[in-house]
Amino acid sequence: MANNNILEVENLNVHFHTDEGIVRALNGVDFKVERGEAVGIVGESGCGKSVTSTSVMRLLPGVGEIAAGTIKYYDKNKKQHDIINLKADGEHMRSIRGPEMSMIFQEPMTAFSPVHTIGNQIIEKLLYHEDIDKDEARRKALELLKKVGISKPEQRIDEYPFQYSGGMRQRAMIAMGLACEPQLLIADEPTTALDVTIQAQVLKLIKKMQADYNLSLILITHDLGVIAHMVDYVNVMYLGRVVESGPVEEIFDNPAHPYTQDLLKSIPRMTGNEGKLASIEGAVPDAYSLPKGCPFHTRCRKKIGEVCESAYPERQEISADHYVNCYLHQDLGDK
Amino acid sequence: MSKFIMHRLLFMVVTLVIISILSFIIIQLPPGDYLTSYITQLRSMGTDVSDEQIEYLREQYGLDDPVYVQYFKWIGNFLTGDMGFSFSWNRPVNELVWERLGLTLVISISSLLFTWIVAFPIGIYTALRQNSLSDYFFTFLSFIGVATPNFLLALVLMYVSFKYFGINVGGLFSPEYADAAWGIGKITDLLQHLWIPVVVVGTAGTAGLVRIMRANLLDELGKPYVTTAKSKGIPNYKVILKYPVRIALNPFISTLGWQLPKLISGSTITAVVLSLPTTGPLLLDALKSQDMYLAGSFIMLLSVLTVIGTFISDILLALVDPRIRYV
Repeated sequence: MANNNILEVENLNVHFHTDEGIVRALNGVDFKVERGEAVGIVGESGCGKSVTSTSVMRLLPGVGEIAAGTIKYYDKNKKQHDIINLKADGEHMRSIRGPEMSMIFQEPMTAFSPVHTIGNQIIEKLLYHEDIDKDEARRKALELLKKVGISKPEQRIDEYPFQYSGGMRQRAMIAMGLACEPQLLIADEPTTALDVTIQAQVLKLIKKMQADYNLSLILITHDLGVIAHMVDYVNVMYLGRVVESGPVEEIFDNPAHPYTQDLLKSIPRMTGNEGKLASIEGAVPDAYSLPKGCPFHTRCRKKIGEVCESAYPERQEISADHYVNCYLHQDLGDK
Repeated sequence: MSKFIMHRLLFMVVTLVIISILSFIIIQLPPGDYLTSYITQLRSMGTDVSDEQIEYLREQYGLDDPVYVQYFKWIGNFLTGDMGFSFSWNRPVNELVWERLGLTLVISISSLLFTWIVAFPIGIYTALRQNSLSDYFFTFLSFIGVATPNFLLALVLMYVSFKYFGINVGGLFSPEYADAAWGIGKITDLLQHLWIPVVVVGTAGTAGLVRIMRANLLDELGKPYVTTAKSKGIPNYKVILKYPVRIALNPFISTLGWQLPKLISGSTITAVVLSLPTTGPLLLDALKSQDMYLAGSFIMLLSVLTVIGTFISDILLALVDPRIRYV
């Protein structure tokens, strides 16, 4: 069997047309997700993590435009769908959103409509995609709520989002994401808005659901701790590019890109005696005028010299499935 | 919910009592009492008023009683539907008001419906096509609509329809139907006349509403719950109508009650220009001629409607927004 991927993203470029000019949010993002695999996308705010996921779902806001690249999705029957060339609101794309891929959002309070019951919002999805009646949809929604650990679902199903606690809202959001049994679940910072104890519960739930439903998972987060627990493969993003990718142990044990190394250093640890928490110097450059060459050269501690400002470094495989875009790992003999 | 309603009802009664006292004070405000001015008026017209007659009238209106007794007499009568006597019309106030109320409501309600039916679709459309040519077109149009004084529009429409269609549009009926009994002919005639006041009264409201609806909807369209709904694969128009439009409509639904007093007092100037037999001009005349029973009754009536309208708004708001219902 040649291809076990569920999603292949190549050279994805996304531009936002704003009043101040064009923001190049993504500048050639490559990554793939294997069937049943959990893939993490990690990076600072504004690096394009969420833009990547909304592009895959074709839910970019009006000012966002996919300028180049391909997104290929392989459905339940391994049929290939060329996501980029589908109409964002067209029937084909909508038949993928829901039964094939679905998304969990960051802020469960604002991601649910405040004036419709949780049940209504889940049932709506079931009724649209599945050939069932209202009673059956309600029964399924109850089952989902129970599955994600909401107590008294018979009562909770008719309640409004503001009557749920933050953790419960995210559980309900997961239940809604699982409705229609998607193959690929995209979780965009699913725990960022929650407090720490609830975070752990929600992550555990996502992991359990991934196993129970045999889901492929894309987990987007800025939290490397979450990444370490949850995923098999990591993509590190910086300013609209994947700068390093590899199996999770590889990334944590042998980070190759200076950016990844700095990110790992900036995780607070109980052990160690540095006293002061390391941080990455400088600020993320302005997205309206990206630096030439490697975008990280303005903050890089290991900058080699002019070569870093010349052109974007090619992708290098430095060990099995571990890729990095950095001149430190290239043979610069001829340059 | 029932506790919420009881609470509001209680406040409503208290407010109404205070308003009734204020209205009564207003009736009493002009120097002397209204009987004095009535008698002066009669005498100036050359009618002779005998002392017994004056005594009889003073007795009837309780003008020699202490003020609080007068108040209770007045409010007691008001509650039973007797709103006093209009001296300038020489008729009971309630007759005057009821006579005009029906047609006033017909005009007000039709213009409200006109406003909503025209404004909401345009508001939604312009929000969805923000900054497109059609958005600019409707924006331009609605600014003109907001900026045009109603009475001016009324004059222009009267002129145009008289000059080019030969229809005299003043009033609500052609002369031959004005005193006729109700029938198909009279209703058709009414409809022929009705469109001008409805368009005139409705235009400014429509234009304003388009702007508000557009702004409300634009606020909602970017909210995360819209993206969530789209992520479910539901068609766009369903998403937009069910979620952001529904929420953008909330303020309108919940302020529906506030339209209640406007039904009676709204568009007075337009009514004067178009010589419509509605309550607006009646109120204006009452104020001009110090016809205090009529004016006081109007103030009381408008206040009652305002309070009831606010009460209805509170309940509607609770109905459309669960966050309020469950507090």
